[in-house]
Amino acid sequence: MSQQPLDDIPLLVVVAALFVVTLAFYELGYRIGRWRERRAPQARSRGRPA
Amino acid sequence: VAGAPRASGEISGPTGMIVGSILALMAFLLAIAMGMAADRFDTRRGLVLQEGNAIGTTLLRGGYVPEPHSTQLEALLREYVPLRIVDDQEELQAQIARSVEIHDEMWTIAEELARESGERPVVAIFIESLNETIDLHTSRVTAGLYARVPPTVIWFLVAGVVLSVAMVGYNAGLTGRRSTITAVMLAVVLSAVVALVVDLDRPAEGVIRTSQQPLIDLRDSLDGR
Repeated sequence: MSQQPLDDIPLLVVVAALFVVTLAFYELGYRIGRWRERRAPQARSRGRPA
Repeated sequence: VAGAPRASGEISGPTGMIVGSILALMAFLLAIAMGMAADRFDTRRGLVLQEGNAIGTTLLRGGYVPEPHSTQLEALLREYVPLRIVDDQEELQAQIARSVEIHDEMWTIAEELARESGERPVVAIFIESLNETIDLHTSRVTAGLYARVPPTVIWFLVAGVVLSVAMVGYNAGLTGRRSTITAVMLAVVLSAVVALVVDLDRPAEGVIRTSQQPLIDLRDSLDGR
């Protein structure tokens, strides 16, 4: 019998897991973005000629 | 230039455009996956109707063949129809196995009829509809169990949704502005669409199921005879 990767998981669990993982990745992306943005002024000051 | 200082706008500007492109690409991928799942769903639904018609025709034409074959065929078809109604995934394999046994029994009767009756048209059209019934069994098994959305597409979909939302979050991080409600709504909508694709691809489980109504109606009409 053909089995899909998510076949053994109930649909509600699939929805809930996707929702949680999606939100977690949004938060991760946000934190990386903040970190990159905080680093940018430092890079600017390092690059500024004396 | 590598190592050159970057202004804040230089980081967030192109990123926003790229995030927009990624989301557009995700919408395209979701549409393709949804189309694949919906096509398969429609095929399964159509096959249930075709099978209901084919079994009904076999039953009617079986009434023309001589006794005792006619009664034997009716008894076999009465047992066959409930087996074709898929409502429990656990019993599916047993239902398929018994269906194949019934095919063999009906075909044995058809062979006897063909030998006894020669080339009588009544027997010929009965065998034709029995053949169609057996063929539709194979079509339904193939459509229900094997013709699924390829796993690669599902995995690409899940990975695409997760990564595109991460990019939306990244862009929000660069600009320093984010809305929790927007993030939650995005996650809800994307998860729901992926779940819809997964659900459409599960014939006998979930919220959206292939309607078995033509076969249920046939079973009820047989019970009333």
